[in-house]
Amino acid sequence: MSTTEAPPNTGTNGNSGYRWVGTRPVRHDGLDKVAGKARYAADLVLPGMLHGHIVRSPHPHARIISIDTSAAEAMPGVRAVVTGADFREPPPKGADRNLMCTVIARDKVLYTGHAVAAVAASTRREAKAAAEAIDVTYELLPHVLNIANAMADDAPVLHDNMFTRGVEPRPTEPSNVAARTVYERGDVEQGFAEADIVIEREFSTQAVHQGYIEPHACVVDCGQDGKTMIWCSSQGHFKVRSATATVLGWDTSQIKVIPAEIGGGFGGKTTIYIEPVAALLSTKAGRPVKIVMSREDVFRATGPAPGSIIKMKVGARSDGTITTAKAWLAYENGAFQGIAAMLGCMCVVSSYTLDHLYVEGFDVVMNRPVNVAYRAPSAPAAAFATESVVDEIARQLGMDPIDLRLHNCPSQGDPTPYGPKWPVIGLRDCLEAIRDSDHYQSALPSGQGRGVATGFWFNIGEASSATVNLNENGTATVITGSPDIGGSRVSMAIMAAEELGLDVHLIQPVVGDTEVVGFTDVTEGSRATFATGMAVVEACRDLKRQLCGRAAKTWDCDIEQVDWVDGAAVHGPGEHDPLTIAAITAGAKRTGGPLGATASLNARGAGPAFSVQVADVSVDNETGCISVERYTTAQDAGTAIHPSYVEGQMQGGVAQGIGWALNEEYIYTDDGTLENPGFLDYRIPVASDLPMIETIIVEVPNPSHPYGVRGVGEVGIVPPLPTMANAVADATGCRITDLPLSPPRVLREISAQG
Amino acid sequence: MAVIHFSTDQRKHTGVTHIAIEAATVRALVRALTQRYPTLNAHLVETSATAVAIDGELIPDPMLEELTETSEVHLVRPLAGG
Repeated sequence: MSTTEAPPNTGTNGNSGYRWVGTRPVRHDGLDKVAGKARYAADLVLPGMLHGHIVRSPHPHARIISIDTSAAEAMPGVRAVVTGADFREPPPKGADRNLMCTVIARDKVLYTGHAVAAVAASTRREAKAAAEAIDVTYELLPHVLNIANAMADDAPVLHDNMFTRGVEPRPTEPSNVAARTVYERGDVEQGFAEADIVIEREFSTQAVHQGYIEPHACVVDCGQDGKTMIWCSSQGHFKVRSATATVLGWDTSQIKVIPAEIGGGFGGKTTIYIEPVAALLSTKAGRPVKIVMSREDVFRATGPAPGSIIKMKVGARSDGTITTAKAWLAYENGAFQGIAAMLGCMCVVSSYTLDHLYVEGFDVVMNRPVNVAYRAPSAPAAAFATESVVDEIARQLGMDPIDLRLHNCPSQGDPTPYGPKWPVIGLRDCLEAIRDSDHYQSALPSGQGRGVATGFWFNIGEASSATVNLNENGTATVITGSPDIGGSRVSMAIMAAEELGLDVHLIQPVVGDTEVVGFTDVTEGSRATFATGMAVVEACRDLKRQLCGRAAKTWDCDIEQVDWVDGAAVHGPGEHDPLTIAAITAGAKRTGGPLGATASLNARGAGPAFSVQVADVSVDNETGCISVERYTTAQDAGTAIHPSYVEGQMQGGVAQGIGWALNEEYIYTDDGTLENPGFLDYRIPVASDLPMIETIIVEVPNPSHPYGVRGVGEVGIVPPLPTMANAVADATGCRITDLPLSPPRVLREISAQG
Repeated sequence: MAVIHFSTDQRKHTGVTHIAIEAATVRALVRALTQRYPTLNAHLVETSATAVAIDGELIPDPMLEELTETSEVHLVRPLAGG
């Protein structure tokens, strides 16, 4: 066993008194990842394993008349074929139906790429050939691909049992508008009457994909004893277990899910698509089955973030006081109902204190793949609308855009737009951090434009479990149920090190499968370091009590005479030398056996997150191409447990947000075919497209977490959409209200301006 | 007494923006609300408003949460994220 000195505390928390929190040890999984040794689901090969291939609909909306699998079943290497008829009947409506019918279509297909059948064969080639031999007869139905058409009175209706919720009286005719949400306070008309300036604009954003590098993949082995093993990439293997059980009607306890390393999720791997299909193929074939989605299938059949239309009207007095805001939001839901508009309504004016507001949102289904979460779902589009209008108000009033936002900034105790009061939040601190930054204080280079914007996301808690075992040599193993997407393992190790007083390098963090660690919710909502970290801390505190008890036994004294100080049990009266963890674990058999502790909790008190960002851009007036010259983001992390991974999350969110702002969009033909299901035609930013994203970690500790943690994984993606649009407006004088800010669109706007 | 605030949609079932109710837990509160506003519970179920915010803190599984004389409660839908 060797120990190392703690590295210099290079986080922003250098004077906090922590030894490990705020330091930057190398992540435990880092070497395997850079060396190509990390094991992803697609890497797994089992004896006798078959390869699955899924047949997908070429039509956006059609009734399935028949599926003839006979030719496929007779083809070489084919061991099993399944269709929707092999799956249990879904309930008539609700979340379970949506999940079950997303995994495989039943009576209707609802988007191009919708799964309709699957084949398992000895090789991928044989499986693909057999899939192509499956004959599906469709009755084509009219389809709708955008919000306006889907909301039209004469729109083809996707679900004949969908009646708009939130409308009185309750509609008697079905429609594609799943739900209406309203938040209101005060009197908006009074607010507009009090305003010296009123700006009203309509905005649109396009559906985008999370763009994770690793396609969905799984290997499923269903044994003759009824037990099922699933190896897969996901943001939550307990969710994979329960969702698979739901789709198949199987006993959850008979399913074991082993998490593989994950090559990105960003919300897109919070649900399942292929595991139940592979499970049924495996059951039929009596062999393990692997399914790996192609990139094309990932785009066509897995969750985009929704497109939106938002009408925004804001009034302000000449001193910069925003008197009211009125918003109308409609969000694409994809083929099944979601809550995108509701979330958008909750977020749309969260960065402002308003006495008068009226926010109305509509969730709209259409013939596109069903939405799945993407970092701070719905908030980016909402921020695009609000922050663009606020920027315009600041320009017209001649106010600094940050001063205007500071003037209207909510603080603890102010009401949120959706009702409850704000807890401790760091929006003001983030605004001040950007205002005082080198970037904002630097003169804007000639020919460039500068934009700023804010963003909000809730963050959540949910259930987490952790087990901390001390090994016989004094090292520790921390087992949690949270898949590590952004460096959470090393953060767990740091928090355990801080609690136990143990060198972080002597702690091995592990992501346990569904049978070795307690139930843990999905890694989503920026919750892992917050909630699972709380479980780790609680387990460590239990362990410290046990360690003190062992020392008391050793010293034959009362446990009250023992304190835990700097990683050792200390005898209060001073009659014995301190006992380190290693000393106690070495003699553990004599004092009661091995030491370990488990904690499971439903984490409370998630701290809301805010981010403020500034960008400098240049715009090529001949091509419309935008170059991001400089970009700085400030974000309230609460406390940065591992600053490098906080910065990584901030930078990743910004990069994805810039992609959403500048280039990314789903492009459908009129017949419902997705035209750009690949990274050649779906343009995400690459390293050469972006400058180094400068980061300012703001730390306004969350009082509900033992180390003050807020989630950091999501809010960074919220401000880039308006930040870029505001910077382009500054550079060109063109206020562009439709995304993406692609070169053709920007050129068109510049040309129209003359 | 705890004060319950109703959203715009919920007000259609309560007719008021807020109400003070004597309740020691969220479970007791929901029972009291259901007795007073018979159609509210079905609305909460339909809209999945099964969470609450107590004094600003969002709590997804709240039935056993204790309320105080000064608690401010909002009935909301559980949130997720990416």
